[in-house]
Amino acid sequence: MKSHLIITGLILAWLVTPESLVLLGKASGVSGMLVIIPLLFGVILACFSAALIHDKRLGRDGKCDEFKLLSAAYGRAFATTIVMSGRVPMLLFASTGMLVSAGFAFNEIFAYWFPNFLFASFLLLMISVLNIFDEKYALHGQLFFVGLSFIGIVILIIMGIGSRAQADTLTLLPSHDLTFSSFGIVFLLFLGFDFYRTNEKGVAPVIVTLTAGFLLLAGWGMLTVGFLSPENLAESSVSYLLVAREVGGDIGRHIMGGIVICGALSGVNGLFIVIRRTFVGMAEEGMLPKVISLGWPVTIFFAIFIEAMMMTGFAGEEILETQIRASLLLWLLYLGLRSYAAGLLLSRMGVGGKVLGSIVGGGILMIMVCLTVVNADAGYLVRFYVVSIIVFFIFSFIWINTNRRAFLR
Amino acid sequence: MKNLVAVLIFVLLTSSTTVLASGVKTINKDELKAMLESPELVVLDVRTGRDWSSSEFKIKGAIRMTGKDVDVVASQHSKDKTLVLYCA
Repeated sequence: MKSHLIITGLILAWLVTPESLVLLGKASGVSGMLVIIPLLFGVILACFSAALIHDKRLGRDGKCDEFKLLSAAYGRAFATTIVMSGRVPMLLFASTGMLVSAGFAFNEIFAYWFPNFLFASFLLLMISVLNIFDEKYALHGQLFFVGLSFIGIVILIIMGIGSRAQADTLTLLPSHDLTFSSFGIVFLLFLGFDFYRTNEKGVAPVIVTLTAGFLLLAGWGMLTVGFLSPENLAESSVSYLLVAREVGGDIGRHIMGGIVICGALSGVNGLFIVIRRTFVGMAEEGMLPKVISLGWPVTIFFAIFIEAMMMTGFAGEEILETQIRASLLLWLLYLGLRSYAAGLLLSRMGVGGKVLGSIVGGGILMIMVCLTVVNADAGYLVRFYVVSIIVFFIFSFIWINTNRRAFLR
Repeated sequence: MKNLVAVLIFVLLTSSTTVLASGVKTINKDELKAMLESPELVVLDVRTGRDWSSSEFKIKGAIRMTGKDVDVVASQHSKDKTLVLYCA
């Protein structure tokens, strides 16, 4: 039971973040009540992808399964490039954004006198301390953060259902559009199932958790559509706060403040746990310096980097939003290639899976391409992808060639 | 009205921050509140990135712009207008 809960904490790490709530708000603004259809599509695609990458027959030993899987399919250099492109930008840019959002929430909702960036730094310090020592502290913290966010959202949904305002508004709702981008954006909400390290339970706990996540998002999506106009939803960068205020007044606003802070902690802590696992696993495989396998150097390095980004006012740069979007889409690239690799390896074992891997992996990559094309900063996104991939590929290529003897042993 | 009060409280609290640039006049929420109805008032919201997008408080009618464009925007308004920059 305990391990199941810890798995839940990791899988829902991204789903309960303020970033996800904004994305859901935007999708709800476009699709209205019909957002339930993209949500269904998203959870089904996520379940299929999870079924592939967490298939027990892939025979992983629990250590850095993602890297072993990808290197078996694409080779070490590409595997390193894919893993780092999917993980590192997300940790750097999305964490900076989420921490700053939590800082603003604390400053504007709970304590005006407390500087927002100081609070963001405090949260980063807390996460760093949790992740420096044994992973179990970070995992328990993760469960706590996700649990509080989840409960907070459920409370607001219940408060909203009990409110008359929702019923009045719902009857007036016009019909909305189902666009491809709303399907793509909604799929982004379910990312995080790849954080789970496959064990003997296979994919079952992932599917249960994703279903719970779907129900939560569907509930919140319906609530947002009921309380805010589509224009407000699509345009607002803090739609979750507007909805909470409509639902519960000042109490709702305070609950949402807690959700934003816990959600940010959940997202950032989840990313720190995964990046540490990934880097430690790669170091044990000889793909990174041995000192990395200690774990704590990874945490300290990235914590300093993120703190530097916050201190230099990076969060105040408009480009951060585009970089977070690019990082999310690189996560899709990683996930698409990992799903395809899983199908390929299952097929090599003679148990089938290549067709499913191609469909799921191809579908995820298609979402990535479409969300890039429709983005107003498509050119920047492409440059971001190219630079990230080239930098990580050069790094891995040089590392492999300078340590060739170790790999031949 | 609630929103307005919230915004004004926010302005008060944030405007207490020391402004280092010399020669720039600062105002508090009461001063701004008294001016809000004036047709001569132009509020420029110069917050960018998450400073703006993560904030719950946005002054209605404020013009969003970056700090770099202040001179350009200022030149577009007659000298009898009062420009108030909202930066944090």
